[in-house]
Amino acid sequence: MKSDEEYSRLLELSPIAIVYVNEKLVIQSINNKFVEIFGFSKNEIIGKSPIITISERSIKRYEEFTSNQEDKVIDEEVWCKKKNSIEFPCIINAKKIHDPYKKFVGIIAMIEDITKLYEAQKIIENDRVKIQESENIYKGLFELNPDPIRISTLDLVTTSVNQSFLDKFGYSKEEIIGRPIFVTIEDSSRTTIYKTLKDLTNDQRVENIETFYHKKDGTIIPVLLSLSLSRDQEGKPTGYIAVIKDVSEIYEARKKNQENEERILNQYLKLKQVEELKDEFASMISHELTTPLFPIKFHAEMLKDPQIFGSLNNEQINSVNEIYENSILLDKLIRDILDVQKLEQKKLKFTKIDFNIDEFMNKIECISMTMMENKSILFENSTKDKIMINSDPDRLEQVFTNLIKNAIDFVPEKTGKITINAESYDSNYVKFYVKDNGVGIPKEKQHNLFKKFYQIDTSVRRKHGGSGLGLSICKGITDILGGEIWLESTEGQGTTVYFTIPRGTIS
Amino acid sequence: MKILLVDDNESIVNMLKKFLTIKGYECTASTSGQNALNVMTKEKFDAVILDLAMPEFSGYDIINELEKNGKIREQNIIVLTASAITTEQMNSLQTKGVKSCLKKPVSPDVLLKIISSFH
Repeated sequence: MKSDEEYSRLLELSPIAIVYVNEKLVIQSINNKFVEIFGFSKNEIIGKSPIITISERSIKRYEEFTSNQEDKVIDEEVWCKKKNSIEFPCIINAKKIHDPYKKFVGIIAMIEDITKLYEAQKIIENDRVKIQESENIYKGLFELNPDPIRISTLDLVTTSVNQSFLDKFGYSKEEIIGRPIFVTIEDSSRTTIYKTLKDLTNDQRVENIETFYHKKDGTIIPVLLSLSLSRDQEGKPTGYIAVIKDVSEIYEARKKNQENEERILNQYLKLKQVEELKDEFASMISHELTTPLFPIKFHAEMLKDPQIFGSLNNEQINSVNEIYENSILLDKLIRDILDVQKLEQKKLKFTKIDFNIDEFMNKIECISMTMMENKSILFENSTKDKIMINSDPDRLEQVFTNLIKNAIDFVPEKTGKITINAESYDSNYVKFYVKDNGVGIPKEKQHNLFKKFYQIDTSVRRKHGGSGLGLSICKGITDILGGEIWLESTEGQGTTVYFTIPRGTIS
Repeated sequence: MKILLVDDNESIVNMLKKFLTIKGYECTASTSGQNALNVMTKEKFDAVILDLAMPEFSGYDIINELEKNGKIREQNIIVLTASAITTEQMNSLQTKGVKSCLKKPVSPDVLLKIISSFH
């Protein structure tokens, strides 16, 4: 009896739920742990079938066990059901009990609630799936990355490369794995890469270092290299990861761009040289043409002077005069070409000073008189305004002599008339004109007159000489002085050339 | 009055020599810059008509040499050039001591007027 009591006390203290079922499969007794786990009180459960404590999904197993005579012991995971219908996993260790005559007398079962263990297992399983997933992701990132990737040890021995690496550099896996990383690196880049790797600190990632790799066949590939350390679980460095971006295309484009820039620069320098040559050429031409012209003109002038070599007959004088006149034209042409050249290159010197325009016009009148020589032309200077201006009188004189030369050439021989004038214009300008009663210029030809070498017809050049540069020079000069030049002309009645000049600031 | 004519173009020195001799001047002609400088160091002239662009030893070289020796103002140098020289260049020559600058093709009258101003 005492031992029975002790036995009962031990059952009650057991940390495992224990149930005894009799031969009719009715629960005979349970311990406190059973009450605690299943939520039934002893009164509620004793005398009932154990089925009410078993989950639907394990009923079949229960029936198998209880109906099969051979099956004597069970020790396995089973799903049970609490009073409140919550199902939970248990490990049940059940044993069929028989009397000495081998008659079945009941089942004793020990039930251990493994809900916590089960949940922990579930968490572990989940983690494992997650780890697998992320491993797959990384493997995918590594294997399928379009950029070559190499993993190496801290001693710079390649441990792994992706497919892109093999494709890009043309090596087989065997030729790369287990060999130094420098197998694929150009000599010129080795030091840079070596230093960068050795200087890498734990969290650092060095990106886009410009280096050169080469393929197995020797082709050099410019790459942008990104380097980082790989680490084990404790964060200790285990090696290096290199992502290698092929930038051949960018590199080629950049090279081409540089070549283009160089070519453009060369062309520019050549053009500049040509410009300088052109400049030099014009100076040289003017010097070389003037040198022989000088004795031609000088001899003609000596011959014209009877005091030097004596008198010539009329035919001889006419001939010498022709030589002289033409030498003057040639001289003018040479100087005009040089002026046009300088105007085009903006090298003609301009010196602005203050001067009075009526005095200036008087000077122009004097010059005109000598230009007309013994031609009978009625010349008039109708300037009335006395205005001080700041401009370049030498260049203005050049404009006037060109215009007056033209007027003299085209007025009728005996009834020619030329008028010059200067007057205030638009408050800030002075307007000048040279007016003649010459042959005039057809409307359709007027706009071409200020172009270089333009003459209305070439016979004019033969008759009057002139370079065809005069008006072009006038336009160049008035442009630079800040004015305008234009003409009005009626065929058969005459031509007036106007030009304006800003008054400038009087100092 | 003694005049030195310096120009590498023989046709020009001969022509000027003929003209100025007729006009009563005593002329010495030289077609080499170096030779002209040698002559000038030995002999004093009332006027020197000097071309600028000459091979080997140019008119500029002569002017620079004379300027160095400090003798340039004794010589009455008249530059006679076919080059288009700017006003600035002309001023610079005159600062060095050149008396006058003429551009080819100069008229006999103008040349004579300049020379006679040194009488």
